[in-house]
Amino acid sequence: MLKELDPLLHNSQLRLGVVSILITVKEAEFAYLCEQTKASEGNLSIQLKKLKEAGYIEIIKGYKGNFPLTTCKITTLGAKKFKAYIDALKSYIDFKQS
Amino acid sequence: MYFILIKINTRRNCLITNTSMENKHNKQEAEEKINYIYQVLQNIGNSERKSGFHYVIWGIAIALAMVAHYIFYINSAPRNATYTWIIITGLATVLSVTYSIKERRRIKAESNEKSHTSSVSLIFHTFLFLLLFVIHKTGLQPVPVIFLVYGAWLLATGSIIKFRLLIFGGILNWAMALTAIYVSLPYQLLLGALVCLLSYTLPGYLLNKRTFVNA
Repeated sequence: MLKELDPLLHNSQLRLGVVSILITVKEAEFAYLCEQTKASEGNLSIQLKKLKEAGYIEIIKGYKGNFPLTTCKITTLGAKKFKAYIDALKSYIDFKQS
Repeated sequence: MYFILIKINTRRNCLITNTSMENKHNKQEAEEKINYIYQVLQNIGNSERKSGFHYVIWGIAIALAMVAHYIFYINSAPRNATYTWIIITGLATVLSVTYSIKERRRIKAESNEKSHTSSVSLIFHTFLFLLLFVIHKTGLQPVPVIFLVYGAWLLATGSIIKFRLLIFGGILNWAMALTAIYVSLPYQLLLGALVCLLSYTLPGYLLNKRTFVNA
């Protein structure tokens, strides 16, 4: 049985990359996400905003020393959606044409 | 009638072909996405620095303290041994804390793995601290007990970070704990120094080396 693919993760490689990274870390700085995804700051900001609006991630604004710092963290909903997305992908891979 | 049947059949075949092509495309796309996720996760694993600094420093420090203890013991100066332990472990603590503060400033993301190893380390060191109090009050042999605790800690940490040498280090610590029951203090100290170098310093050095090769 084929499962539905979450469009928020499926339609953007960058959003999928960000969630994949955040699932393995406790929290990650904006610069780290930029570095790992090789995305531009502007593009990454837009995609992070979309993920935040959907409740998949949490964005924490703070300071490191005297410098402003943006940190991202995956939410329980985000982790659940990511797992469901992986299961859905597996259903497509395992699907056998009758 | 026959013409209509042929038309329906052609349409059905066409739909089956389309669905089959769509499924093939979806399967290919799903595989690409899985590969992408796998690649992202692998890049993170490679770029993450698993520091073996603390293992190297503490392995050397404890080994040195044990050798010094042995020398003072055979020269009948046990008070000096106590001072040596305080000085060497004090220095190692300063180095460890300084390194940890620097590392905390440098890291941009804390992995779940690191978070778990930190929790395990905190639990084991608190446990050891309480155990030292129990040893002091009950008169238990300290060396076997300490090596038992550190063996369990190394095994747990090695399993979390999937580093086999630390797991072997843990087993070696347990073997040392059992051996220490049957040998006298001077031999405990010499064997203990060797075990510290083999189960902390060597894996720590190789962990650093592996990380820099992968990075």
